[in-house]
Amino acid sequence: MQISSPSPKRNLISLTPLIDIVFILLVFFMLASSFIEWQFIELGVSESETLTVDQNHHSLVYVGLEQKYQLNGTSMQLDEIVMNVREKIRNDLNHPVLVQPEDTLPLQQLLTVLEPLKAIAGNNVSLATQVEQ
Amino acid sequence: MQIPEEHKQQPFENILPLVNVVFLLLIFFMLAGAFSKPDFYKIDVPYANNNEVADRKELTVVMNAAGELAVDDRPYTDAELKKHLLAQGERADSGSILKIQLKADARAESKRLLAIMGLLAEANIDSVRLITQTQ
Repeated sequence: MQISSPSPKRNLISLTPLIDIVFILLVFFMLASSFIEWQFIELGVSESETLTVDQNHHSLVYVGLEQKYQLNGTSMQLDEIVMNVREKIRNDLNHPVLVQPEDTLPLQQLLTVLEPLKAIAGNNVSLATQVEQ
Repeated sequence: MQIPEEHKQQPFENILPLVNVVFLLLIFFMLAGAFSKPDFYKIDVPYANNNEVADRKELTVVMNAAGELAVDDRPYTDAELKKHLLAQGERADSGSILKIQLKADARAESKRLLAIMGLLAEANIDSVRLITQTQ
């Protein structure tokens, strides 16, 4: 009796549906996933709308439109304001810094001032609406 | 003259490297990406170079360039938002502080930001995290 040898041909599962599904999954994950890493700046919330500022004990930074800045009523460049505030923080670690923006100032421009001030004064920086001097 | 017989390729032999690469890409996007719900308003997040990374799971108030507010999938008026936040604060544990993230448009006016911060203060929230992105 002659026993027939098994055929060497392998029955492979068709790869086409698998590849289709993997492609669809890939497209889904590419479109649905987000790689943007949000960051934040912490802003203190003050309950009182009107603050009374003593220029000897506060730094009041006014931020106007078209890059107009004032420190305690004196017009200055932003880097001068940062230097002045840094000096005051060096003498008094809890020196409060108030930032008073122009009403129509876009948020992006406000952040260009808040960012360096937060870097040197940390949580001592707060936003002010109405200020009495 | 005898011509050497051509090596017969299996039908899938050519596309196997492609399948491998697609698998690797799929695994990369599955592991590295994060799902996020689209915001109710389209927001251009302002740029800043600070390093603290925001938590996507925290309660996020969205404010568009016109100053309109939304939380999750619905718009809120100022009064509704205050009520919602007060209710959230009561639901939270007494010891924990309700943290709020504010995702505001870069073109929004500062006056509106200050008004919202006043509103948050009335809702017993003492600090707000303004969402930014790196340049």
